Amino acid sequence: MAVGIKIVGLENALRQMQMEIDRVKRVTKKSLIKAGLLIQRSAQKKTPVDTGNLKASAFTMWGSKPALTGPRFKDAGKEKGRMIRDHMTVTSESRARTTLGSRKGSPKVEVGFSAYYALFVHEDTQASHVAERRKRRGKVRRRGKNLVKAAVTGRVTANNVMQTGEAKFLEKAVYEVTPLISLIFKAEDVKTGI
Amino acid sequence: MNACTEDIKDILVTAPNTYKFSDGSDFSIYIGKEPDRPDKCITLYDTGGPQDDNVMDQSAKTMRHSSFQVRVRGKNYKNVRLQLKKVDKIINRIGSFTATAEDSSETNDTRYSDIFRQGDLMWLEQDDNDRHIWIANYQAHRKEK
Repeated sequence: MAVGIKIVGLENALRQMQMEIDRVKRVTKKSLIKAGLLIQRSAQKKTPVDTGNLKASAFTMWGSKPALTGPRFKDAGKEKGRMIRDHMTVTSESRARTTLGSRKGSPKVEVGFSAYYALFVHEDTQASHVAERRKRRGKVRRRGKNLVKAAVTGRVTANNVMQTGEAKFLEKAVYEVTPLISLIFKAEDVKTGI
Repeated sequence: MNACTEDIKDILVTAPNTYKFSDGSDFSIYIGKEPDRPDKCITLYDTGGPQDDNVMDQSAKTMRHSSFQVRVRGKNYKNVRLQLKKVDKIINRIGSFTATAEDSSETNDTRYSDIFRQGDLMWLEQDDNDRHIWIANYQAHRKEK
């Protein structure tokens, strides 16, 4: 005796499964972008500041989307042109890499600094990133240059010196944010959950 | 548990025909702060590291992932690189070992399971006195014994 089996709703199940896969992809990409921006923000807080150009050169790249805003570099030492050129080169390379990753189905986000001296500042653990804290018209003014000279003349004391950042600023930001990444994924998943 | 650099310093100092600790001779080892003199020196820095592994058992010792940087300074570009390679070779050969707590406030010994280099050896800069600086970054996996 032959028994026939008829499966009903297979197409529907496959469609549902595809929808779920698409949702997971969307959640993954969104969460990665959020994590990347969080790392960038945390790294910028730790970045040593002299002219502010290094801090401004931070970027987060994902897929083919352009950066939210272009950085505003200061023309300290007439390096503005170089900073802008380097930023465009580095971010376009990063954009190409992340786009390729996204097209292959594995979303990718890159966080970095485009300043040509970023690596040296990041790795220079010996450098002391302190500046003189000076009050002028109620505002705290940072002063990095001639700090040693000021210290010799006695104008700078332990009380009016402030830390303006630290070495390994990006690495430390990654370590800091990594434990939060799973929470970002979870929150995004709950938000878009069906 | 000592600072990671303390344990690495001990290993470098005890290796045969190698380095001395903070005695002013060429390529002696310093921790935390690079001195102005001598020109040739090796400095170790503790550079943090990722969060400890979480374990359910509160009584268990957590695995720590401490990073450190080796910084070698000298007048000759090539010699400085070779010196860093020598240090790198010693660190790579270490494998797993137990470091003894030296300080009386550090009561527990530390078990190192692995130390690996992050990235290649890197020339950092030439300082104001024309001395070349090479660096290498490492991460050690260790826990209290």
